[in-house]
This record gives sequence, structure tokens and C-alpha cells, in this order.
Amino acid sequence: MMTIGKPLIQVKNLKKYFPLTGGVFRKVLGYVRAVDDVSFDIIEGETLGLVGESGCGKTTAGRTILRLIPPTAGEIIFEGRDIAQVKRRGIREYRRETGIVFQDPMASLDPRLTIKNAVGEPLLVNGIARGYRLREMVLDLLQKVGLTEDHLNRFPHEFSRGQRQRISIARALALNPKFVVMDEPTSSTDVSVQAQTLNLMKDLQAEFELTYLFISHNLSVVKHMSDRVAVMYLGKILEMTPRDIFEEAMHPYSAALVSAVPVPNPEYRGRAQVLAGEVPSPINPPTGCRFHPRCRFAKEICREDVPGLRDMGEGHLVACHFAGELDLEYKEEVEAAVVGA
Amino acid sequence: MTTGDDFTMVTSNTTTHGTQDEIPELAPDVILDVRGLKTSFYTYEGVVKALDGISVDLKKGDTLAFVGETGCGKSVTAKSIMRLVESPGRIEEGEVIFRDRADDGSEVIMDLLKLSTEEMRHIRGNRIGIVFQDPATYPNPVFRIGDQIAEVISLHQDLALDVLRMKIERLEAALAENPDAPNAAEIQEKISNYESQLDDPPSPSETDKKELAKKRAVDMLRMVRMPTPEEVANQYPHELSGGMRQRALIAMALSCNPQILICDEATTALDVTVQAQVLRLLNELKSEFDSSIIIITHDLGVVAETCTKVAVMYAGVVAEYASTEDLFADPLHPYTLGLLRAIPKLTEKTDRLLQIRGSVPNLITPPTGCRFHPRCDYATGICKEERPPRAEMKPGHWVECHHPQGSMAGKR
Amino acid sequence: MSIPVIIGVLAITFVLAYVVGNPLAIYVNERTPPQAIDQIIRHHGLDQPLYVQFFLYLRNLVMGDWGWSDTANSYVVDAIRRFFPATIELSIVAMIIAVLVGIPLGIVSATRKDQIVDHVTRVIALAGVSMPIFWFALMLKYLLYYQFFIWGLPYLPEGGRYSIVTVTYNPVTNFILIDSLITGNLVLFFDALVHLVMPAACLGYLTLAIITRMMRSSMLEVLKEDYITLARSKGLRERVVIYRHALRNAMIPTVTIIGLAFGGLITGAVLTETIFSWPGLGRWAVRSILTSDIPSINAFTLLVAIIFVSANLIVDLIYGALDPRIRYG
Repeated sequence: MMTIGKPLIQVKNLKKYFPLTGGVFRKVLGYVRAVDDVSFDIIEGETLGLVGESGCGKTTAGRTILRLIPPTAGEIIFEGRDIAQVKRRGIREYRRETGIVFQDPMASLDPRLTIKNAVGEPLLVNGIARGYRLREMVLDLLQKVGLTEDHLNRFPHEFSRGQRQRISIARALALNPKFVVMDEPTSSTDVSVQAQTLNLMKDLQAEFELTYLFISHNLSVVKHMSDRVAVMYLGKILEMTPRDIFEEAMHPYSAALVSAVPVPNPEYRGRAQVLAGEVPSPINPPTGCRFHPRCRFAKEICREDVPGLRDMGEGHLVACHFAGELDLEYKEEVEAAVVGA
Repeated sequence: MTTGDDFTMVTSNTTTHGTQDEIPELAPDVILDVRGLKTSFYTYEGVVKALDGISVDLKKGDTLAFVGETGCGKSVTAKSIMRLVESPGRIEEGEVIFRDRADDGSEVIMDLLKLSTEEMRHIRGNRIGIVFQDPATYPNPVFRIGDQIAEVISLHQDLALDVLRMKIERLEAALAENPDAPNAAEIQEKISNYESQLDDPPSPSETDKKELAKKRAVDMLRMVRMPTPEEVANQYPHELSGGMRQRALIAMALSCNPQILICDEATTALDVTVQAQVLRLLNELKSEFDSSIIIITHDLGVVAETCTKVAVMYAGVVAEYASTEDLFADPLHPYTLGLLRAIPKLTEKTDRLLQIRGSVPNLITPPTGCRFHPRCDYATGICKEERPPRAEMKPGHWVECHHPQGSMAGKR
Repeated sequence: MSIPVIIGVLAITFVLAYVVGNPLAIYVNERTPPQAIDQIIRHHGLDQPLYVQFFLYLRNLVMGDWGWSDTANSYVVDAIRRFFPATIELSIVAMIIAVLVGIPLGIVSATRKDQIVDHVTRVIALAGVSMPIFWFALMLKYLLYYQFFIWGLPYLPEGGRYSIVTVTYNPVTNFILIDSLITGNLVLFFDALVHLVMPAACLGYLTLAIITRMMRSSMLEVLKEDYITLARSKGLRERVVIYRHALRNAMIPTVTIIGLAFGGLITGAVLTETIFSWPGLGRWAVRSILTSDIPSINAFTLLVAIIFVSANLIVDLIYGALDPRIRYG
């Protein structure tokens, strides 16, 4: 699959805690551990897929890596600099190298700004182009994402969802960044539009030699887009693999997640391993392995020790004490015992 | 006018539905038959023809899916069946024939669109239950979950007999616990008094009714596998997680043992693992409750996972209607084909997705002829001019297309 | 939240006494002997630094010494005891009218949107917020008292709390309606009630209009909510959907307005009481302002502040009862 290249971004022990305050004096009552000690590399030119269910911290991770929100602890090494430590000017420089596409294009586009101004804003603010030259550059960007000259002076509400998402992509690419975070870019679009957007993103990646962090809750989309897939659960990465996650998930949670995705083919019916219980609160996460209270293989050690990511070959990292030793195939009687308990 | 031998028409029942001019015909195994349904919305911009002649039937025990993209009319179909289309929407034409099985086992066939408001209220929540998309906004935030479920139960069910039984049980339990109580004889007399009323139970008091309904609500919550049903019944919606709330709403929809359960994007807002729990639950409940299910979704995965029949909708029209196996194995309509190719699949790795060009049409001025023709790779002159007829290309496989593909390519 | 507000008002009223003129002026007149002035200065601590004086002012307030009211010709505390019940009685009846009429009007208006009932209601509400209270009061009086009297119809009394000439009243709590009921004096009760009708209607009209508009808009908002669709899908009667499922949710914003409006009623009473010669706080305040009776004005300002704050507190409590999300949040 992916030959190990040079890492563009190295994330080391990244943590992001949100304080929970209460009472008259806004006393800190606890922390939401949105991202809790996460480390990974993003290789130049690859797409790293980050998948997980709502509240697992994937969006926070993406935003922290872009320094849109300050990290609580950890390092973000980009081109030899620790971005986690840099101050205002450094952050501005870093933002020129990076871009982000949000889930809801309507919410992220100013309704009173024409498309020309919305896409041209980063160019203007950073003093890269103005006047006629700016118009040329914006038009060029719009044409790259499949829009035309007529669209230049229109407002966001005049576009369809898919078109608006294209505009956001054009804006993210305006400064010719090296690294783009795609935060659920197609989760509010329809299947036929999604296909157009995903294809466009792949084309642009090849054309501009971009590196993507692709965040989504939709495992099928992540698999389609990514060279490597990371699975997050309660602020931790449980598995990261360059292999086919559908065939070779090694963490019990990833296996359950994969099995729960309904496949548009009746032959795959009834393979869902139903997980017992609910996702615990990130304020008081379980000790040891985050997944142990819902894991059907959990043993004593899972309750006590936090498993680290271990390489199971070809860069397939798994954070499970029993990685490789478990039979993750769906078995009805095992599940019945777990659900019944 | 009976249409089969395995059921009998109770004429005295049909006369109570005075608004019906004649009893519609219905094949014996069909429970719901939607015929030529048209619904429009009268907006300032113009008339949105949201449904333009929908014809689909639901057989008993089937799980039918309406699948399609935003604005294809799948949710409007559900709301039209329930007659919950709100102003400025209006059901213009068509029939929704429903086979109602009364509590005594007799069956009545009726057109839901011709019922009076009062009669329709009796169907909603009682004979046909519906679960909506967003568990965050659908339960009423200011009432306890248990009360919201109990409300449906006491509304539609005659609890007189059960209240009486509950009273007898309670007294018997008290007696069994303490047989030597000084008022034992009195209690015994009360029991026999209640027992003599069993044939003709008196209408129960509001408090007794409420208490029983609440007990039933807890039973329903247990039925949907809620871990602590008694506790949940006393909680408010915001205290539950999304998955739990959706299960509570399913309990609500099922609480009167409906013949049809409609799930309008019921799992869309849920995480996949929670969705898997809910889908599994629905499948199990379907057999427990002996009801049929209509699932409205945009996710072909959910369709393949749970449904026996599929109606693929596009721009207010049912483009293709077939059994799930048949549809996925041999899609005939170019739109179905396009949709299947456009989804990224977990089971296989493709480099590029095939995309359907263009975008969904505006339904105020929909395309002439076949509504899909501007985006269709196989469109010819006739597609622009004439709406294709609804044709059964293979047994049980209906298509609205001039140029069906798959195994029927060129056979028209 | 409420305590800082009260302290702020206290500070303002305290400073007010200095801004308006020499605080000494309250206690002296042209015939006061000069030696006595020194004594008064010392007695009232007027030779002390300002912060000490403020402290003394607070102490006196807490001790129940609110000063002497020239207008009422009694101690301020006694004057309050006399006037406050009259105003509260009037305001509460006004509020009852406003709520009992305003909320149903708002509901009807929302559920029959763009029908005749709705249009009529909206005109009534618009008139309520745009008509000056004194003009409306005079018009009411002209019609229901003057013209009805001329036409020989049963007319409403022109002013006052009860018919002083024909009915005797021995105050216990100074709330006439309560007093007449405990003493079993039904003649007085009905007499007082008849006297209340016009001033209360007049005072409550503005609040009624505000409540109606608020109720209409929040009801329209709530009727679009998903849980209303769910309620309908259960097969509930439309009445049940509106009065059980929608009303409680729609009441939440309306309750806020009611709380704020109650404070407003007390200030509105200034005009109403003057026009209907109602012996309450408002009329007292007007007279105090005209005669620069500072202790009385201060007392009125403080009372209004306290009423505003307690109304807000009550609103918060009702809020919690209506909306379980707030109770636990």
C-alpha cells in the first residue's frame, strides 16, 4: 500500500481538555477529555482518515492540529517547528500553510459576502493579491472546483449545498496550502452530490500535492478517501491501519464499528455486532482501556492498564492488550451473553 | 365486496365509516395500498409538486423502504399516509387503502384519505405508529417519557377491564401477604364484587387509568430493551442519550400494537453502532408485534440490511419498486443504477466513484416527461416528452422508465 | 443577582437626596432656631463623611426608620402600610385580567392565524401598546361613568377604592377585598370590586396587549416544533395538542414577560391612580414629587425596585417548574 514517506505533521501526546465550570464563581468542576494523549504522523501526500462516533473527539483533534483552538498539552511538529508552542505570528504563518473545510458550508460562509470576496479574502488579508489580479486568482480557483465566471458575484444562498461545499474547498485552497483538514465535508450532502465532492477532492489532491486529514463518522467514505484509517473512541486512537479496515480490523471496537455499518448489499445482512450499553462520558472516562466496559473480550488487565498503540506489521497500529489474539468474527452466542449481561 | 376467503368483511363495521361511499378492493395479503397519491405544497414561489402519483403496496409482514435523496418526497409520502401534511401542503389525489384489523379480529378496508378527522385520529398512533428522524426535537421537552407514552395508551386503549384486573390483583396480593388481617373478609368480599363486574367492567376513574397506563408505558420501555425502564419512565427527554430517546419514541409508536410502524429516517441522526442496535430492535419487534414496517431512509445500506421491499423515489415519483434482493442484484432504472454506483462501499475499494451529473430538479417546474431525463445517460426524445408508464417488468419488479437497464436492457 | 440590584438602587436613592438639594432642608424651615439646626445636623449624622452617612442610611432602613413623609403627614413606614396594599390590590387584579384575557387571546390568535379572530386580536393588542394610559383612562371614564350616567345605564364609580359615603370600612390589613371577606362584609366586598373594575382594566390593558402579542408569537413558534407533529401523530385531539403539548412550552417565554410587566404595573399605577383618585403608592409618589418630599420618593423608588427584583425571582421559580431542562441545568 503506502510506502512510508516523510511525515508532514507529527502529533505527539496531544491533549485537549475543556474545563467544565459551575456555580457562582465559575469553579472548574472537571474536564471534558475531548482528546486525550493522542500521537500520530501524517505522511506527506497521504490522506489520513479519522473515523469515530459523535463525541469521540475527532473534530476537536482536527481543530487543535490546525491551532484553531490551543492544545492543553503535547506537540504538533510541522516542518520542524512545534506549532503547539508558537505565538500569534507563528500561528498566522501556519494558517497560510493549512486549510479547513467544514461540515456545513452555509454556516461557514458569510451570507453577505459575494463568492469572489469569500474566496478572495485569505488572499487579500495576507497581501498576496488585489484588484484585477485577485479576480483572476479567484476565478482560477473557482474553475478548479468546477464553478464558472458567472458565479463570481453571487451570494452563498444562491447556490446548492454541493456548490457551496465547492466554494468552501476553493477558499481552503486559496493560499495554496500543504495540508487541509476535511471535517465531515459530505455528511450533510446527498449521495449523488457526495460522489461529485469526493471525486473533486481526490482530483485536487493529485493536482496540488495536498495532504489531507479526512474526518468523518462515515466509515465507508473514510475508507474510500484514505490511505490510512485511524479509529477514535473517547478521545483516544484505538487503531490506525494502512490495511483494509473492513477485512482486517484488529481492535474489538473497530471490528464492532465496521460490522455496524450497513452495506448496500443484502448478502451482508445481519453481520452487525451490537455493542452493549452506551458510550461513557468523556468527563469520567473508564480506567485502563477506554473500551473495556463494552468489550466482550475484556479481562482484568484491560481495567487497569491503558494499552498503547502496538505495531502489528506494515504500520498497522492497535491499542489493545490482546491485539492479534482475538477472534473478532461475529458469533451470536457470545454476543447474546454480553448483551444479556 | 370481499376480495378473498381468508378474511370476512364485517358489514356492520363498514357502515360506521359513513364517509366511505363504497368499500375499496384490496388483495388479501396487502395491508396498505397507496394508489396514485399526489401531494403539493402551495408556497409563495409556486406549487411544489412534491408527490406526483405514488403507487406502492405493503404486504403483511413486509418491511418496505422508501429510499431517495433530499426532496424526493419520501418523508412527504409518510406524512401523507398519516395525513399529517401541514399547511401549505395538500393531498390532492389518490387513495391510501388500509386494511384495519379491529381488536376483535374483524377486518375493515378503508381509504384513509376519505376518513373524517375523528376516524383518522383513531388510526394515528393506534393502528399506524410513526417514529421520526431527530430524537432530540421530537419528544416534548417538558413531559416525562413515561407520561408521553402513557398518553397514547390511555387515549386509544379501553383500559376498563384491565383496571379492574389490576385492582383484583392488588387486593389478592395484599391478602396473600397478610391472610390473617382483621379486614380479610372485607377484602375477600371486595374481590368477589370486582370479579362479578368482569363481564361488564365499569369505566375506570382517571387516576386508576393513569396508573395503569403508566405501568403499561414501563412495560413498553422494557420491550424496547431499555436497561432501567422504571427510571427512564420518570425522566425527561433531555436526560437520555439520543439512542435511548429514539428507543423511547419507538416504544411510544408501538404502544398500541399498531399494524404498521413507519420509521421516518428514524436512525439517520444516530451513530452507526447505535443505529445497529435500533435496527436490530426493529427487526425483533416486527415479529413480536406481528406488524409491518415502512422505513424511510436515504441510506441504501439500511435498506439492504433491514428491508424486504424497496421503492426508490426520485423527484416525487417512485422510479423503481421491487424486492430488496431483486433491486440490488438487478437494478433496472438508470437512477437506481447511478445511486448504487455513487456510494462509497465499505466492502470494496474503488478509485473513483461514478457520479450522477447535475443536481436534483426544482419541483415547482419539474422536467417534462420522465423527471430524471436531464441527468440520465440513456435518455432519448421520448423521455423528454412522455412520462413513462408504471410497468411490471419482472414479477413484482415495477419500473417507471422508457429505457430500463440491467437484465431488461432494450426489452421495451 | 437581586442583591446587587437592590444595593445599587439604595445608593442611587441615597445620592438623590444630595442631588436634589441640601438634605438638611427636609428637617428645617424658616422658623427653626439656629441652635436647633446644629442639633439636627448632629442627630442625623449630616456632619459625618459620606460613606458613614450611607451606612447610617442603610441602618435606618433596616431598623424601619424610613423618615418622615410630609405629603402623607405620617412616618414613611406608616404611609407605606396604608398605600402599598391599595396599589398591590389594584396591580394584582390588573394582572389577573391581563393574564386571563391575554393568554387565551394569544392562543386563539395563533391557532387561527390570518383569520378574522387573529386580525381583531392583533388590532386590540396594537391599540394596547400604542395608546397612552392616561388617554385610555379618561376615555373609559368618559364612557363608563359620565355617558352611562347620562344615559341612565348602570355606571361605574368615577374613582376611589369604595363608596366612602355609603359604606363603612374598618381597615385591618388595608387590602379591602381581604378585609371585607374576613369581616363578612359582602356589601363592602362588591362595592370595592365595582370600584376596581375601571382602574384595573385600564392599568392591565397595556400588560394584556404585551402578553397577547408574546403568547401569539411564542405559540406560533411552538406549533412549528417537531414535538407537535409527534403529538398529532399519536392521534391526539387538536385541543389536547394545543392546550397540553404546545401551551406549556409556549408559556416559558410568556412568563418572563409577565414577570417584567408586573414591575411595570406598579410604575403604571402612578398615572392610573392619579386619574382614578386611587389612594395608593402611585398617587402618593406623584404628590411627593410635586412637593419634593425626598423620603417619600426614595421609599417609592426602593419599593418599585424590590417588586421588580422579587417578580424576577418568582419568574425564575416558575421557569423551573415549567421547563425541566432548567431545573437540572
